Amino acid sequence: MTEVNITVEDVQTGKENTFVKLVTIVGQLDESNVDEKSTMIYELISKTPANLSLIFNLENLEYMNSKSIGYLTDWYGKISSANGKMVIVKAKPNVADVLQVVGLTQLIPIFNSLEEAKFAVLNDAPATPEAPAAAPQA
Amino acid sequence: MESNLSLTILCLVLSLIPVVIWLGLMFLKDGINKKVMFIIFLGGIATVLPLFALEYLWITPPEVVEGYKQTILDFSSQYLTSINFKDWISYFTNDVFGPAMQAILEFGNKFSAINFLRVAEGSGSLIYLLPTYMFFAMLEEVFKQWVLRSADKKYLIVKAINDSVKYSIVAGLGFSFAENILYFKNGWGTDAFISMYIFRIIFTSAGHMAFSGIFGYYYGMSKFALTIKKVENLSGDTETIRKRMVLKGLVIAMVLHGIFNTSVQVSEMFKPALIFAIFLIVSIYIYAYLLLKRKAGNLVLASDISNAESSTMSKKNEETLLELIDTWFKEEKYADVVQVCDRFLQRDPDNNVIKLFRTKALDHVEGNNPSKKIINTILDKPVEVKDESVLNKYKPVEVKKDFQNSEEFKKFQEQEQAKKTEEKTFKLDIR
Repeated sequence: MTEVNITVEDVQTGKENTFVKLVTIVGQLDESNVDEKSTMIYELISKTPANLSLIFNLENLEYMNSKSIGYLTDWYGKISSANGKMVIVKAKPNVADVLQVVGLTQLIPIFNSLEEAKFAVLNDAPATPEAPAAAPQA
Repeated sequence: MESNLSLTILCLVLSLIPVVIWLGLMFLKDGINKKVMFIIFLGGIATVLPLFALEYLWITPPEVVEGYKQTILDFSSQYLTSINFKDWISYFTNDVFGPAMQAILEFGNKFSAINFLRVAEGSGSLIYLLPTYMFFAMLEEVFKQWVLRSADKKYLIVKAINDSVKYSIVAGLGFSFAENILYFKNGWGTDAFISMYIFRIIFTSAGHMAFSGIFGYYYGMSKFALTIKKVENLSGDTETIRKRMVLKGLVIAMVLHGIFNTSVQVSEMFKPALIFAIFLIVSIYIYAYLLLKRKAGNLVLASDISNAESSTMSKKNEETLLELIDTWFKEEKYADVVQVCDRFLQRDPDNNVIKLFRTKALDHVEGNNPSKKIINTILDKPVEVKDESVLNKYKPVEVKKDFQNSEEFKKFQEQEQAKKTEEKTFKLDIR
């Protein structure tokens, strides 16, 4: 099994009913460990039914496989539908590249520092008119 | 002699009418190479010749060998007088050619397919009819597929799967044209001529085109086996997959052709078999037609390698994304697949695997699946296109961005810095 270590820390928000967790992933997420490790995040999400935001620190994540991208998309769906936010801090270029091609960086932005990530999570974005999802072009 | 020639010309014209109509219906507005199409059509006609040669071999009695021998000996004594190996010619004719030819014809007569056909038709039993007609169908399909493969080797015409289907259909139509002339000639003047004419120009011609079209589809797939192997997750080496696809196409075409021929034959004793034969042909034809309408089939996969743009993505990332696209495709997240493929192709514009995934997903999004289209035509309430995509459902980012130079953020940074200092001081105090 490839080595991967996931740690979860509480982030002080100073706001009532707003829960932010910092998830730090170190190592490689691949077929040998992704299913086992993902349960940890699912448990985290299920324990806080609403207003949970996640900051993923991927500074030391060397590689993520296709399945882990699928899980990340699924987590995003759960978090955003429960009024939460998801952001990434310091992804390595190869990881950021894959996420960009998948289109996840449009949903889960990548920031260069933890401060920026915290600020983005704790402050609401200015309201913008809802744009309809673009239909695929032939 | 003259009336025979007139009848042949008349039957040729009668056979040409459906060809013009079919080609016009299918390819008038198509970008198909008309010159190559004509050559393939002639090739399709020519495939009737070896079948007749085989038939001739089967029905020639062994006694005629004596006549052949005499012709050779007469020719040598008349024209090869100056050559001093008459003995050798005589020896070859009498002791080698004669016995060999006699043996071949005896063998051919004993196991003659024509004899089998007579026995099978006489018996009226499916046990005999099915294998016999299957055998004839096999011969016809083998010759027709040879035309497409040879033409493709010479002219490199198959650049997309649909090219292969189209040219194969033309070969089938060529064969049908030649076969029709012979049938019309034999049936001329009989009571059943008109019904036979109508049935052959519509259903038999459509059948030949459809059977060849099926082979063409698999041949087209085999041409792009390397790409399709990745898209369909096929195991084994590419060359084996290629051969397997060609064989699969040939077997399906042969079996359907055999079933059609048998049904038509059985219909002489059992009328509903004709309805089955017509239903079979119409179904295959509609399916083949809708198959041609798919975007995936029209995708040009044979591109000039020298023009190919190189990828700006790492090999490992490419593999990860391919796995993801494959998984999402299987999970029916077609709109997501199209989006990811679009972004992928911006980085690697000539990646055929991604192009094929994209068009296949797009076919699903637009409901171009042939079987679904047929069901939708039959049912009043159309079957909705299933799509489990998720990326499309989510609204774009709802977090604050581009705030790094704002006063608000600077204040936040100061607060965070102060918190850190406070924590540090607190830790020092404890010590």
